Amino acid sequence: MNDIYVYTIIAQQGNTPIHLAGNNDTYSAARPLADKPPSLGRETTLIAAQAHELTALLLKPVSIAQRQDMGLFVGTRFGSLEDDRMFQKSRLADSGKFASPAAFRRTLPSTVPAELSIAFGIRGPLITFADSATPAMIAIIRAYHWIATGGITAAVAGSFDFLLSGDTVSPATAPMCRTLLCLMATREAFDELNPWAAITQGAIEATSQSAGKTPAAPDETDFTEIITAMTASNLPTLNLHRQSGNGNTCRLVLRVGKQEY
Amino acid sequence: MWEKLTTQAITAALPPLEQRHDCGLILATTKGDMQPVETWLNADGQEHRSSAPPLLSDNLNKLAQRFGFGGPKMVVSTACSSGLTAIIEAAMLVQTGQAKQMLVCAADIANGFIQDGFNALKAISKTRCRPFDRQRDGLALGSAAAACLVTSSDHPRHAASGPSLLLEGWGISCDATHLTAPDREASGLMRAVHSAIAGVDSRSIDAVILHGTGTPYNDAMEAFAMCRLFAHRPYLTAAKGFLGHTLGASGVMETDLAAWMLHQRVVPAITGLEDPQWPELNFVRQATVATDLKRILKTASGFGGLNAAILVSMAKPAGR
Repeated sequence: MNDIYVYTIIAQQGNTPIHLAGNNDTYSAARPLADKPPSLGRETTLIAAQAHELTALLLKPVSIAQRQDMGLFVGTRFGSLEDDRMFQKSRLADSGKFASPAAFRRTLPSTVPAELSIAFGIRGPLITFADSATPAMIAIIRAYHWIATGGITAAVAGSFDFLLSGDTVSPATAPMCRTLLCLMATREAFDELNPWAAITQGAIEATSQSAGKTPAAPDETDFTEIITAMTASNLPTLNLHRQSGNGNTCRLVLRVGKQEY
Repeated sequence: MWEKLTTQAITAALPPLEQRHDCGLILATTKGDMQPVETWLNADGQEHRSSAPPLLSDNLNKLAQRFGFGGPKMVVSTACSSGLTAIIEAAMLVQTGQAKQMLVCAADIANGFIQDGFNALKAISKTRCRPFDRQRDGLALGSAAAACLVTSSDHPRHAASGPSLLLEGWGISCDATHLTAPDREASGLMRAVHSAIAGVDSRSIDAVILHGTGTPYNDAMEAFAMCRLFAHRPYLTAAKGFLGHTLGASGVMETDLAAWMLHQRVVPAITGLEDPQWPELNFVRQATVATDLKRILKTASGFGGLNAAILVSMAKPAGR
């Protein structure tokens, strides 16, 4: 399998500074999530706004023409649970007379990625995966295989989630959105850009442990692990190895450093 | 209902016990089992609400544990194209050697949440589902689970398996135009089809099982694509007039239908179609015996402008 290159990884949780690894270091400012892009419509959730903003930064050096055949691979833990709550509230009021069509159309785990495809003109394959522990790694591994087998030459891959605090989804938890995305491609796809790392291996493997282990802590996913790896850029090789919530082991091996290319 | 339907579907396609340690599982669904989700949502703000919200991946874990799948396990959720997308993902996992075989289970239940949502969108027919008819006014929802087993062509097939299909090609694309309305010029669907039939003479495609929801815009988009793509006018059929729209399950159900069609050499009629809006296309209004049926294209489209297509033909019998 050919190496596939990661040009940029961008991530943010809540209003913390944006983490970025790649050849463009200009995106360090934290931004409030209160301002939703008007193009996303009034029903847009904060997680969609965050995903929108990070994708805009990620795709800054990528032309509209280059986005035409790009893929979009996104993992999620909670999917559309926040939007489900909004629609449920509307349909239970007044015997369902006011069930909101605008809320209903957002009640899919694929809604946020679909909005990104619309906003940024990404027209290749779009696939959403649900996993309780490794949503980002599954998406990145699948993007790796789609590119490596020649189905596409470039992709945006990662995860998004609206974090639930305890048992409530409330305005107080609204800033707790978490998005991690990376720009991946063959070396030829973006010859004007310098890659940050190369993915040399990626696999979703069966594990001897049984499936069904749902992490107890709300934030126990691969997000933190990937951020840690991003910031440890003095290491020439990163081995990400983590058990997914679905009873798999996700394995990603990255070779980091511009000198490699 | 979720448990019963998914168990029945998986059981029908299940490989023997000795093969399950290297068989993976993909669950394709738009919403999964909504009953625990609704219970959780309805307890919003109440003290007895459980702390852990139900996750879509919980559905997969329960099925994987019950049947003992040892290979890779994933949940794919791409609206109404989920079923076909899952078949494509399964094929790629097998093709790249990450699994020897993958069972795809596609399921969705049209509960009150879903029905109220489609009602709010005014997408449900007031009379009956009439795909591609001038008088069509919407879809009819259905609940279903369907399953299929994806293996490499040299993998031994077990005796209980039904007619097998050869997956010749596939494609997935986005319209990138609107969350619920399809691209009127069908550019996304046509790109998915072009990928699926790449390297094949398009005139060799004998039939197409369309998504055919019976909604005005979806059917118009698909008819536009068929006019542009296939000058030789293959048989066009659709199943949602008699099966209902089973959302994430529909892609696998209708792929199973393709296997039946190739095995029986019959193209079923489009239930509900009386007055085709596009008479220039070859919509099947009466079940047709087609002895020369060899290749079938199956398409699906969903919210978010997501499209998927697969090209299938009859696989050679095992042992040849």
